[in-house]
Amino acid sequence: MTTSFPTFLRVTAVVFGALLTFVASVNYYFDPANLFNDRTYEAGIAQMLLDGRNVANITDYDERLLQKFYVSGLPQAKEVLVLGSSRAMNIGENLFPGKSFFNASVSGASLEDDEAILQMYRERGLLPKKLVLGVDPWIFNRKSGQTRWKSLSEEYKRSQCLSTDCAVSNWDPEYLRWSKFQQLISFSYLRASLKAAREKRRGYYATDALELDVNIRGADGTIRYRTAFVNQTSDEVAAVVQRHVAGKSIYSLDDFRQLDPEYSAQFDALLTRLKQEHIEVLLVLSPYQYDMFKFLTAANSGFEMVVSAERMVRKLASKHGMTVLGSYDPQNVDCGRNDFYDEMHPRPSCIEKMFKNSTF
Amino acid sequence: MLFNSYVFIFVFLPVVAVCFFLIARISRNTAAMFLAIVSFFFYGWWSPQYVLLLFASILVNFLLAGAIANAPVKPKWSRRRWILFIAISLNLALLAYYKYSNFFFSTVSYLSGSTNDFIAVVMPLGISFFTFTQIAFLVDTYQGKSSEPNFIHYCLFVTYFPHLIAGPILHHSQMMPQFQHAETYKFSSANVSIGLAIFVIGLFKKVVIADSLAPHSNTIFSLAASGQALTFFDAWSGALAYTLQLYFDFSGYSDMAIGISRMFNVTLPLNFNSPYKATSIIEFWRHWHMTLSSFLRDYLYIPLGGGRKGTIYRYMNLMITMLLGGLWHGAGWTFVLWGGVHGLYLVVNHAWRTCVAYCGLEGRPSTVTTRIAGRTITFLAVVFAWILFRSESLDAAVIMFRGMLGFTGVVLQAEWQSKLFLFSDVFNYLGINFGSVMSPESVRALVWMLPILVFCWLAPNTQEIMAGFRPALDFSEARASSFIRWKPSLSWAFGIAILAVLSVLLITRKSEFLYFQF
Repeated sequence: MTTSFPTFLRVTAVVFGALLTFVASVNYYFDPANLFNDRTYEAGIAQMLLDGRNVANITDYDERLLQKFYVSGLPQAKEVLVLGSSRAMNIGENLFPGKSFFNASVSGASLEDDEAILQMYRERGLLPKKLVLGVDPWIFNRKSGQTRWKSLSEEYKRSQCLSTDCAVSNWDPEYLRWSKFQQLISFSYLRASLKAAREKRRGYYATDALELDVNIRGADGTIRYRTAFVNQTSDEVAAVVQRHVAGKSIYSLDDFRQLDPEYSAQFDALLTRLKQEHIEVLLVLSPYQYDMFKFLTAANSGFEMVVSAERMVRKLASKHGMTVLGSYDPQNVDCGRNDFYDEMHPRPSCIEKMFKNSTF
Repeated sequence: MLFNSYVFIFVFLPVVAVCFFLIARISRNTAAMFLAIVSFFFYGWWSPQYVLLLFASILVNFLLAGAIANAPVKPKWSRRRWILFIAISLNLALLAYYKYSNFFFSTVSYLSGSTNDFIAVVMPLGISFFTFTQIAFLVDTYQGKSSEPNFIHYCLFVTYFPHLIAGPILHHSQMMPQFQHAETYKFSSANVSIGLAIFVIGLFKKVVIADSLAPHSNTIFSLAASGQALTFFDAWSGALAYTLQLYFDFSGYSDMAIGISRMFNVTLPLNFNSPYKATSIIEFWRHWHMTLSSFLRDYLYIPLGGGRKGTIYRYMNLMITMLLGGLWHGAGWTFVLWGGVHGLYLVVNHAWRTCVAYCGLEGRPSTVTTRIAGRTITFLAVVFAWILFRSESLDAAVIMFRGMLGFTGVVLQAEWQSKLFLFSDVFNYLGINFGSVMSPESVRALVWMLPILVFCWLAPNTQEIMAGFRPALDFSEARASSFIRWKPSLSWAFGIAILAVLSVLLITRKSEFLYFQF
């Protein structure tokens, strides 16, 4: 039925507004990444970890904020602290018997993350005696696309103020706020919201189980992946690797044309500072899966900087008299095809091989 | 600023529209000036430093056009003609510097074996479009078809934000008379409704369809660029994904430009008219990027002599026009080759028509079979040519061609063999093997693309849907779709609102328009 033009415009506007409001409400209510809640979610998990319990079924939370709540409730310093990305998240307390330990790794950790988390420990006077620093090649990639550290932007800002000046690049809280609200009308966020609603996966709980069909965050900060992920065969892992290779898009390594000079200098400065603070540092290079490493280092792959990054880390370690454990090349650490969860996450079996002769 | 961005849709467009109609209540000239100023702002959002370049280009062309208009018409090589020559040369020099100097120096370095670095020149957004728009104006002024004594109006003609960055390429006589009408300055709920509907359809084509196809096409062409051999399904899925992506991206952009302009009571020319329905390559070029085709015809092919000096000259002129048309699209040999291939297609098509006429078969009514055959051949020819257009190098294009022609085997994923059970033998018998493929998504992507292809071939386009309301210049109601026609109704209001919501939800996958690079 034909109507007038003004009525058409009014109805279009009302339906558009109503639908968009509905989507925004669904996204706000289910909030699968906990963008809009009061952060009691992360605080609760942190408290459970502080109480020495393993926590299962944690979904889409802000790992940086979890670290913040953890540090704020920590009564005393740990002897050994691990920093790094998910590639270092399986470095567990079993590798440091008799020592108090926590793995404070966060997914996709960038140099800013390491600096910010250390700053939180520093400000509370809880810096560890020994630091295991997982170094991923992308921390030297200006175009890694990692922005999650901005949850700890204030801490990062303060960490830089102490060492150099207070001018911090790449720091834009307005952008952070705006991008958060964009998620309210994002299709992918809606999909995640509906998935969260369907699966009712909101609640986390304490567990003593070693393995479940959901991820478990151990009391020592390590991660235990869900059964389906753990039980992947090496063929299935190889298929995953093949897909990544075909897509030519490798996690945080795209457009890695050079070792960013600023990041390189900043990493050097971080090591200097840790040394000045009398922290014993162990640098860990987690290996990539065999096929993935072969692809990364093939001629003209576009990812040759991975090798350069390892070379530079070793050079800086030598300069500061620090030990380097592991290598991005799985062959150098004797990790086989069965020693990986996927293209870049070594299993505990691989990590144990790396730490086999360590006296750290 | 992108049309498919929150800041444009929710801030820039509504604010500019409200201000324009409010200012127009007081003064039409001020409203026109306002529109020109916000168009500069729209351009500067991308890169403020190039606003000055745009302004300088406009100022110089305005002065030169004035000089042409005031110069005496005779004799043949009069001052008037010299000024035109200088003006066009200046425009082409500007284009050559910003668009082609990288290409020129890299070619020279390659040929001379030099390893000296040269400073790469950054190409200002839309320079090809605003340069061609102004060249057309200069020639029109020379021919006495156009004149514009008002600098503000000239600025508006060139910078008018709906067409500034990626066309349609406008003639002064098509657009500026509309700004003389008092009605243009009055809010019209009819035109806002029509414009909104066209804009939303264009936004949906771009954001939902084109951007969904982009990842797969990018993956396949990246694999080819890195030298990986592609199997049959990999190569075809990439080629078809790009074919569809490019169409929905650019025609979506053109719809959005037409829709936005209509909200301001200005009707723009049609730029796409279902080109993939074309039954010949000649027809394809009458329906693809129509304003560029017209430009090349009027300002290059015809001045070269067109078909006036005989068949051989006609074919030669066609080749020159298409080669330069290819070069216009991009500074690279693959673009030149793409133009050359289309030139060759056109020559073959014209030769075929001559043969048909010679055999006395001209004018015979086409049948369903001939139409399907014509459409299929034309579509395949266009798809093959797009490979050159999209590939990063000739080597990458060769990899794509080899894959599409089956030189690297027709392979399905090994894991499907057990799933297909008995049918796997049938596939083997047909020469389809099971093994490793470069992109496991290829076959699935092909299945997804099938309905989109059918949609392209059978469904009416935006203008045919909107034909009852003169959506574009020179588009008559006679070409209206018979089974789906827009009208201001409640059901269309719901439909447009749903398309708009879906598009807005997907905008977070931010991507530029493919034609911005040209």
